[in-house]
Amino acid sequence: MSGIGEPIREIEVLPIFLPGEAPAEVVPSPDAEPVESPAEEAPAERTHVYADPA
Amino acid sequence: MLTLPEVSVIPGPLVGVKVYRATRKGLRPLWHEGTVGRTQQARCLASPRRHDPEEAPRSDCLCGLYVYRGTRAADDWYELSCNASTVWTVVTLWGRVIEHRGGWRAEHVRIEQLVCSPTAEWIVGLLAESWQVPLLVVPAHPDPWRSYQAHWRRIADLVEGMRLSPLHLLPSPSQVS
Repeated sequence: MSGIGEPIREIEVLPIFLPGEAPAEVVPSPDAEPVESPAEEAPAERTHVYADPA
Repeated sequence: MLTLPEVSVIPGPLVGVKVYRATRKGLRPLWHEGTVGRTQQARCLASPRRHDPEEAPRSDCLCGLYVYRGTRAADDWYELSCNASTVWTVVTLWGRVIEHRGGWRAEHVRIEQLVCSPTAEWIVGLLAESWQVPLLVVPAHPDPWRSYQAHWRRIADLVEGMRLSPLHLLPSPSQVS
């Protein structure tokens, strides 16, 4: 069979891709739940104050 | 009708080798007209129609995207190696898959690495840049046997490298220069 030999079995292979690496035809649903990003957390309280060089 | 064991679900994607021809319009499959994109989905072209074309591959048909395992040279690799327009690609594959002794018939395929001779570099280089896929140019050897060995060993190394590396450690296409 065109160089790949005899069939053995049928399998279902799960795709595992990084975010942003998904194949072109896989389009995220527009109404998907937003994912909370750690970058959106409140900034840490400032503990150091630097003197004005002027 | 061929009867195969019950369907198993395995994590993927799998890694193999798919072969094309370089043309002025892009990469053409070996057995069909037209050109392909980086990511492809199987569609049955059998005539007369035996089943829904979107249900490809099926064990009772010959349809699907044909992929070699790539760690051993297949019987027809010698002839392919002698043709300067042959383009070898290392691909990931997933979805419905019929596993064969020397490869697979897959539902989905994505090109991850391009390999060609210097003759085909002008067109394959444009595709590599457009798709942001790495390109390896393997010099042709005057001795066809040595060309064949050089090709399949380099390809086998690339396939093994991708299989051994956890996929999350592979560079994303946008990170490959």
